[in-house]
Amino acid sequence: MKETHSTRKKEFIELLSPHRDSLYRFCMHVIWDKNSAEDVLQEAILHAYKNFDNFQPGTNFKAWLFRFVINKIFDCNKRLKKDLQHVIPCQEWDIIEHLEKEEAYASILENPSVFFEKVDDRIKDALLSLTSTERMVFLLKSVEGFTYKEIAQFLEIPIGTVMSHLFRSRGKLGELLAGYARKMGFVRPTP
Amino acid sequence: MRCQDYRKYLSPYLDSELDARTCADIAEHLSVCLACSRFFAQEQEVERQLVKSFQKEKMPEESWRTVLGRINAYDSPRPRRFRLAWLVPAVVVPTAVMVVMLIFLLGKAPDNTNSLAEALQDRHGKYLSKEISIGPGLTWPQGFEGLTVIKHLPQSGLMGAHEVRLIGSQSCYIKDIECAHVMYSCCNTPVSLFILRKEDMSGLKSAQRLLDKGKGSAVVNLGNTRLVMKDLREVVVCCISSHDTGELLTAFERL
Repeated sequence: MKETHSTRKKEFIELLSPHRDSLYRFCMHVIWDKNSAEDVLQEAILHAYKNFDNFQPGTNFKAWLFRFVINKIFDCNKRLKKDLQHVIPCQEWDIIEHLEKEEAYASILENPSVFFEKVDDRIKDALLSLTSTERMVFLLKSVEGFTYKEIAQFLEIPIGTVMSHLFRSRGKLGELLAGYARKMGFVRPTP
Repeated sequence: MRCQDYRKYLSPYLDSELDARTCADIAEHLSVCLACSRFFAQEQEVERQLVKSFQKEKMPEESWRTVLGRINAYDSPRPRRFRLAWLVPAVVVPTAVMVVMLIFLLGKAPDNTNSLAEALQDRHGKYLSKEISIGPGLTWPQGFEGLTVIKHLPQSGLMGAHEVRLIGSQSCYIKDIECAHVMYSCCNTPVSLFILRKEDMSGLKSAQRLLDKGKGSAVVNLGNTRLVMKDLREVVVCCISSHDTGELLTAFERL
């Protein structure tokens, strides 16, 4: 019995280890308050461990873990789940068109690596400017690499809503980055 | 499609979420349109840089140790702590056992019919062995005079084929219950008749159950003698004799 527990624990930790940073970052970026984020993460991992017998080997362990984390976040922030259902209507193309015309944004596109080296910590502030729902969807897709379908299942929203939140969050981030570029004088020389 | 139409698919294209046909169309356009190709590549790079800046943070070792500690603590046997919820079974179970035992004991132990019968037989035997004497004259326990059965007590004479004669009465205690011991002679055989007030018989559950079962009448064989009990509403008459006391008791039933 003791040996079974030990094997089970070892197996869980082996599967968990490669995702520890992803889980930590996701909690920190969504919740922001360090103590609350750590509490949520620990509770979620422990809950996942308690339910480890339900995990089907061969399926996506990372996705299985994220379900527990997202559910814990929802427990902490009841409003978030409600907010996810609502999408503020926006003309998606208008955002792209607007950004394309934005001189500062064009400068970022010209040399992204230089720009990102300069802005550094302000990128986090940009992420904080997004709503919790936009931030969550953006992190799940762009940073953690989940599919639209997986995100829709995690958040219990339609795929179309996932796409709208994602498009909106990318547009907002683009505008914020352009704002930083302007403030920093990071504008391409006029030909 | 114009370049702008292709650029609308930028987001799902970067996310690899487009269907194969649309994806192939865009790839074909990017291979011939330098501006769009450059635009898509630049956007992809911005996204890559953005993601990279969010992937810098690592889980501190201390946090990881806490996680492992919680997993270990969950698996290791925990010391039993007192919980208020345990009080419920701890109180309910012994109480239930005690209640069941009490019901069992109250139903079985207290003065059953046999012990009453034995006490009556003992008193009757003492009369026969002259340890006690019941002479002429009627003595009743306090409050008995007013009872119907006392007022209409059968006197001497023939009752059916039986010659009955009232000898006398005396108050006595049978199993701590005050009662009247009335002596009769029926065909020259001594008959002890005990009159007990029903209200005093609450402790004699088995006797009551026996009477209820026999619809107000019960017979208990005691070797050479026989006990016949009759429920006469306010009193219970217990007749003990080796003789047939049917006629005598019928006289009481008529009251």
